Amino acid sequence: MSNLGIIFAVLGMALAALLPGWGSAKGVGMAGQAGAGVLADNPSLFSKVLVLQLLPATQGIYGFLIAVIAMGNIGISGGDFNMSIAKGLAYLGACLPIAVVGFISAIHQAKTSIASMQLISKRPDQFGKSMLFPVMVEMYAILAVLVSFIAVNGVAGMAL
Amino acid sequence: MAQEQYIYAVTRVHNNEQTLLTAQDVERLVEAKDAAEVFALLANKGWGSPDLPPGNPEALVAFEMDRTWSFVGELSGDVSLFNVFRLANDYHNLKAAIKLAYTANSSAENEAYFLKHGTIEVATIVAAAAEHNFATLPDAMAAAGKEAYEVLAHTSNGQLCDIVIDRATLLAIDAAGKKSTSKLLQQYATLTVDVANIKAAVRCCAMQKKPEFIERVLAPVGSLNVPALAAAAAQNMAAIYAVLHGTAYQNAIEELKTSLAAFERWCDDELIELIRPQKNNLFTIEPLAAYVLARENEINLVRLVFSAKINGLPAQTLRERLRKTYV
Repeated sequence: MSNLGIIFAVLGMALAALLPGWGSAKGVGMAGQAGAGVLADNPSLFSKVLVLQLLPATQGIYGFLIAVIAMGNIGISGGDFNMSIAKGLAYLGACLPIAVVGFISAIHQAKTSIASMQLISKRPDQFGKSMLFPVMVEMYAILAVLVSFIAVNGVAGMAL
Repeated sequence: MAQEQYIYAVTRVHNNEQTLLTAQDVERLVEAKDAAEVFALLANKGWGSPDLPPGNPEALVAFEMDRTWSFVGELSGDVSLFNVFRLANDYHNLKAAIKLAYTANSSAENEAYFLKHGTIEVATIVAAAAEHNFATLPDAMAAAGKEAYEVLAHTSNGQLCDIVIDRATLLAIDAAGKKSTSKLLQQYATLTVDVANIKAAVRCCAMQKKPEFIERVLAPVGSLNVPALAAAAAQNMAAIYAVLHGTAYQNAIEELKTSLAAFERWCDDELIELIRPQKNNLFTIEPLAAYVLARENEINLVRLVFSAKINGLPAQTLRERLRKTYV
């Protein structure tokens, strides 16, 4: 029972890495299939398609970033496993925004990227506008990573 | 099916929609001065191949149909998903095979009577009809084939043979639609069956057929009240309009009052409106189905244009018979 605090904290860290990474992997894969479909008939659109395919990859990076920061703050690499349950839960809560929003936004961004790829396959001159649609989804992942970043650092300074 | 499974296929289909004939392309075909100009315009849209015999419209449309099924088969990996479109070809082939078997006709030119892209090999159907043994065919088709052959053998009446097989075709399409998980394919099956029943009812009414005959002709499936439609067809056209009133075919009543050809055009346009939303569908198999129907529609349209140009029909007359395009 005395280790519950660190368990909660590590769970939060793991979720921050796991869920957005999962969402990004799925999203980039879906967008990759659509990209291959576009390139089968329009190989000249490779660079534009690649940009759109990579947009859902950012959530995985955000999750990884929060997980690394949380790992450093928890002190897991130093072998110190003493942490109160309250603090462990606080770390878990701090990691949840990017874990959940990262996963969901990666999938939705992938779907929007696929729609944008189909748009540029028909109208290559609309690349700029087509990129804006998936970028809009990115905004919520950015908000989530900011909240998680501030919260993880805030929890580190709490005397819980 | 997981929606991710069709992302590649749907993207390629949407990409290929750019090569479909637009309303402007069709207008150019209509305005073409002769069939040679139609060939040239279609070649600019990517139709045909250098290997095709020049100046042969049938070879061109057959090639384009083969190309469509080959493309969709490659993308879907399983053309049986589209059986609801292909069953009519099987039953057409069954009808042709039975009549050829009955007349003991084994001419080498018989190939022209059969359609490709069915679910069953033509040779299997021909062998079943020739040997009067339909057990090699699926149950429903075997039963229809046996009954149609017996009717033809006993009455020598080709029309009665056609009625048996046409009804079986509609039942098979309806069953395939119900079996499909795609809402579009279900709607297609219902529309096909309903339209066939309405056309049959109108023809029976015009020929003043007896109620028992009409009941044998109409297939008891689809969204319409078929017993009521059959009873109406035994009375008059006004009774048929009354049955259609309040159904999805209410707007077709005016077309039916004009002519059966106008009604057929309305049905084809309805089908295009039914599939049009698939242009914005990114994930499911339905855009592939819509693409097949759109290609069939434009191939029929091109066939009509060639026929008009070869027979010297004026552009205005042709325009009145044209259907909507998908893109």
